[in-house]
Amino acid sequence: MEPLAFAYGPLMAAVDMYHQCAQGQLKCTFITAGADIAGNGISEAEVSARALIKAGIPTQAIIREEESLNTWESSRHVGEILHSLKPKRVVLLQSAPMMKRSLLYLEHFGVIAEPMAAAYLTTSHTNMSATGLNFLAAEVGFQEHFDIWRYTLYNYLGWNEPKEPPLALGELSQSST
Amino acid sequence: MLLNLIFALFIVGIFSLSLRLNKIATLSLLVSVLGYLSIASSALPEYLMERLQTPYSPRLQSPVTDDTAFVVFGMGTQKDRGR
Repeated sequence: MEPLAFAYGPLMAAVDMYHQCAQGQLKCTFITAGADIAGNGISEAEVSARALIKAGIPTQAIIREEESLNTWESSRHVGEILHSLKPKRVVLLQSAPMMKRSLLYLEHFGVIAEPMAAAYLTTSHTNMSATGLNFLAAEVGFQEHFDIWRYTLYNYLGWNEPKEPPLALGELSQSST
Repeated sequence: MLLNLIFALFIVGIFSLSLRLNKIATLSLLVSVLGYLSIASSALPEYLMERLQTPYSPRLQSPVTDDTAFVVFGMGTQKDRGR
């Protein structure tokens, strides 16, 4: 198994961040999330972790969250991990079209993450001109907007679980946000 | 799914036309044709992507610091073909 095409942008960004951490001899932790949704016997978190290890990130720097079936659950479980890990700073490495929703969900579970976007999806600034690409971008765009509207509606109706208080981070993160 | 919706609306339009339900036919055909053109011309996808992606940078706001946690959400898996 390997990560789906969309996942490589954030994974490459993670590798870049690891090199910066290693260069500055800084302690950095990488949290990969996702259960075995497809029923292949291996979780998304493990597939992502293997890709990161293959790219040179040591296995002890990676924490796998293997229970979540969607972004909402990932945010909840990653929030729990971060509450016990208590890092000074949290960075979300995410594909650009999915960034807004992921930040919203994480914030709901008390994690104010710094965004670092990767894998921008564009239809005009590319030499790959295809109607299929336009439909893919429209599909992703509508889905993301729909999920954000649904989150807002559920919040309004009180259908979402209660919002968690912000995670207490170190001084560095507070000054940078 | 969008393409299916547009196609379904187009079929509804054609059927409505044959049943002489002119208002439903006009509306369905108009929405399906406009929907297809707005996506195929890349106007709608560009607008949606602009709204979602523009606020975010591919760089960190400040250099990486000690004790940072990086979160990578799962974005699907696929069978490792040819290996």
